[in-house]
Amino acid sequence: MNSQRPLIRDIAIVLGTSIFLAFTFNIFNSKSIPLVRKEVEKVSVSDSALFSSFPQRKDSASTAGNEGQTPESTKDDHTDVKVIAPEHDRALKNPDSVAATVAGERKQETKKDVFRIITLDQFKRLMAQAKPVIFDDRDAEGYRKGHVKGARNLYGLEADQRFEQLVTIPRDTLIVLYCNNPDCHLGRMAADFLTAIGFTNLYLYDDGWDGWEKAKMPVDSTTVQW
Amino acid sequence: MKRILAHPYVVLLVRCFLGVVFVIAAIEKIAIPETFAISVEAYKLIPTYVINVFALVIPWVELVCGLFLIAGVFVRASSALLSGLLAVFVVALISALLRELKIDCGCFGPSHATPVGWGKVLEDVGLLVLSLYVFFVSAPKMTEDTQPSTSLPGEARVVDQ
Repeated sequence: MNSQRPLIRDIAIVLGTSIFLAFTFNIFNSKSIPLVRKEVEKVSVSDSALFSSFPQRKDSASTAGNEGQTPESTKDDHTDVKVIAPEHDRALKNPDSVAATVAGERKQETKKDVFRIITLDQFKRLMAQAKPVIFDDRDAEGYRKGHVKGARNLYGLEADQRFEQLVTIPRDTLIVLYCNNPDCHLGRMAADFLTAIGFTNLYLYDDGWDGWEKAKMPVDSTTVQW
Repeated sequence: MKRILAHPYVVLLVRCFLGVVFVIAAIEKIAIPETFAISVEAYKLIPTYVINVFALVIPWVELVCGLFLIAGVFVRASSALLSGLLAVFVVALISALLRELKIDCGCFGPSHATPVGWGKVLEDVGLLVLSLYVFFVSAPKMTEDTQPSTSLPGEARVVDQ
């Protein structure tokens, strides 16, 4: 019994030290996480809700999803778009502030992360009718091997590193993200970041690359530049 | 065999090996806790609201215990904690395999992503055996000052007091 007492005390010391360091480090870590995790909720989008706003095919990927705009405004390209990003200038000068801004946004969110998911058929129809901006959220190696035609690589773990390019895209642009499969978290991570910097029109193709290949859909291997 | 296993250099070697393995395993998980939280979540074993606390604390336990094992401080406590962790990991891996979950093991962080498999179970069982070995070899009765076989009854009583 005598030899067990110091052991329990020692375990308490080691455990206490670890817990203290964990919480202290999390305060200062730029990739810190909240102590309470939000539940992930995937909501299927109905065809009527998804396609009612895309009556006609648009020509530019950058203007896709800007329903309600006048014909003049849909002619605009990225250079004429007014960027709705209050932290934009500050963030570009100081990249660390991006993380701070995102962390601040995340704190204000509700207890659930809601992701709007679409099926393969819906994805195909969207590509044909609305020309969404497509982000492949897998790593660069997976992207190089093959991806959906026109998709840009936005690796879920490093989405924040594309901040400068992302802020030039209008916040209401229709965006479709995909990863490997429904269990893959990279698409959700990228969607989280895009939501945090103000994008509102995001859809997750949940079956991801596995579903795309299984359906024998065309595979593209040309890298789309940012 | 018993003599070889109790040899200080063998114990030191095993301690350092375990320590290095756990320090390496912890670093990436500490740097990007979200990825480890997602790996933990994929096992679907613990409630969502405690996942982040788990994902924050466990890598630090691994790091602190790993460093203590290398330094030779709190060796029994560290090996006991790591044994407990490894036992939990083994149960979690087997449970994921039985449920046919095709998920990342989450063992060494995102850049060393490996799918869950029986190989990983064996790896963790091996580490568990080493950790238990360090724990039992470092028991107080094995150390010089409290070893009953080399102490007189009267001296042993003095130590107990």
